[in-house]
Amino acid sequence: MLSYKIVLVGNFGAGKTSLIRRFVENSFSQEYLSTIGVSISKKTIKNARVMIWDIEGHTEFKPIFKQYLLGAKGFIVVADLLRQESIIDIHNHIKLCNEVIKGAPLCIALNKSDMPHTLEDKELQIIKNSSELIIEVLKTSAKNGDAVEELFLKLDKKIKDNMSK
Amino acid sequence: MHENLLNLLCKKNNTSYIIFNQNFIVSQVNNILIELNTDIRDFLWEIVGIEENIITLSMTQESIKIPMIFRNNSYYDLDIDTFISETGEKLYIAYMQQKSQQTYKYAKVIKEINKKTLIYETSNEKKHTTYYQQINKHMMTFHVDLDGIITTVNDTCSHFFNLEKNNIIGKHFSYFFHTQESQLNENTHIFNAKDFMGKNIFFHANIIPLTDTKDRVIENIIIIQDITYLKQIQKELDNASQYDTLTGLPNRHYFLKKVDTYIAKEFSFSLCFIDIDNFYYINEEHGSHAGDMLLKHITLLINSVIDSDDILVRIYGDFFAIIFSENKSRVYIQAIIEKLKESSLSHPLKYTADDIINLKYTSLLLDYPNDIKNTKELLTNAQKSIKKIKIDKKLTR
Repeated sequence: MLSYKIVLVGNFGAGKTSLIRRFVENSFSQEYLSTIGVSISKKTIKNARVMIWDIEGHTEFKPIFKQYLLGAKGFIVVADLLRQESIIDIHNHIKLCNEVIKGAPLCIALNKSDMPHTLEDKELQIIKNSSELIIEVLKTSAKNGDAVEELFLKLDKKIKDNMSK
Repeated sequence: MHENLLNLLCKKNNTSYIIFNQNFIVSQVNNILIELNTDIRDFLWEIVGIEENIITLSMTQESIKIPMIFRNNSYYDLDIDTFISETGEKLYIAYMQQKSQQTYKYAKVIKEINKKTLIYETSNEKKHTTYYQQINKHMMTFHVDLDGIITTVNDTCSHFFNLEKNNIIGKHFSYFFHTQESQLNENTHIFNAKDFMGKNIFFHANIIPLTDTKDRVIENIIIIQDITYLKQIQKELDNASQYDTLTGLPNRHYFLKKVDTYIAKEFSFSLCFIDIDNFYYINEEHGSHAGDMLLKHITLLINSVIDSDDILVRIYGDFFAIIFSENKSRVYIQAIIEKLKESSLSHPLKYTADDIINLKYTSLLLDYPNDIKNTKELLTNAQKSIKKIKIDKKLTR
């Protein structure tokens, strides 16, 4: 069976763990437990065994550890719709991913869409246009599951397309 | 012997290991529940994706390290290295060292900090602090004693002058700031100061007196805000109100102000009014764009013959004036007028290859104090005189 690795990157508290939990276990916890180090989950997506790396989020004092990104076939950059800084930092995360794995595809998850936010849908296209590596920008909600499945499936499709070339 | 030693060392260091070959098949383990002859990737998911990095590892190279992996409620560091077995086969070893209790305490503290930070970042308190910081970035605050000596400053001030606070405190306020003429009211002033790059910055300043219990002023707090951009806008508006956008020439406001100033100072000066002939028909026949081009064309022609201290003004429409600076002789002025006549005849406007517009105009020369008394009726009278000259020109044809 085909196996590959993807990594979720983003600022701390953006909801990386919650998105993985929703996708892998179809569950959600309101309590925030920040990830320290890395935790790996496994999920089979259309005959592929996908290793999903949930890494410690970027904080003001601690950058993302590059070694965790090694060998990834794609990335999901997660930002918090309620925190502008996390959206601004998307650019830096994309840069980091491309530094470690040149040309790897990315999906952007703007998480917590179930909460009132000010980001308009037309701004999604602006984010998408900011890098040719971005294959999709989605407003997601780990809480109610909105666009979570779509997020992982879009990235899976792109990775499989790339691997079959 | 070697295997026993390895097991002993791993036990001492709280480490587990898996030995596997180039096909990632497990050949030896210590205390991990993994079957021999199975694919290590079924158990050690960290390896998926980095197979190539592992295969190309050499003994002289540094091992692959992945720290702080969380699995089954515990943390470990993974280290992958290579070695040659007794039979000469290249093998790989993955060590997993359990993290110490200290690490768990550290992780707990970081989690707590992140949790509190997240609560703060989404709170109103953060929004207020951010607004305050944004405002404070643009505002300098000083305490100044009754002799004008600075006693306290904020960080913004220190950044602005690129000076340590100690190098500002103790100096007189006027050492850094210069008062502008305009005082908006008793406690509000406009100051300017040069920043550390030497750029002149304008400030709006509020002076708040601090009083003691007996209502005596003991100190002043001065809060100042950069208003350079407002000054720039004011300058641009002033400029726009005195200049013509089509030709870039000074306009009627500028003209009247200048002439008023000359009269007030009793300078003797001359004015030459110029009005393009048949401008209305040029616009009608060739279009308004051609008319605009003709206005630009005459501007260039006149500017090319006058001195740099003479001023060409577009009063309005096709009506221009040259302000000849003080003490320009009649002979000089006549020579300029003659030169302009020749230049306009030899330089018609080539609007297109087939559309050539001849430039004809009527001029009127007036002197102060002989012909001009004040600016009140100046333009009306000049226009009337030009109109009369134009009628006479037609009659004499």
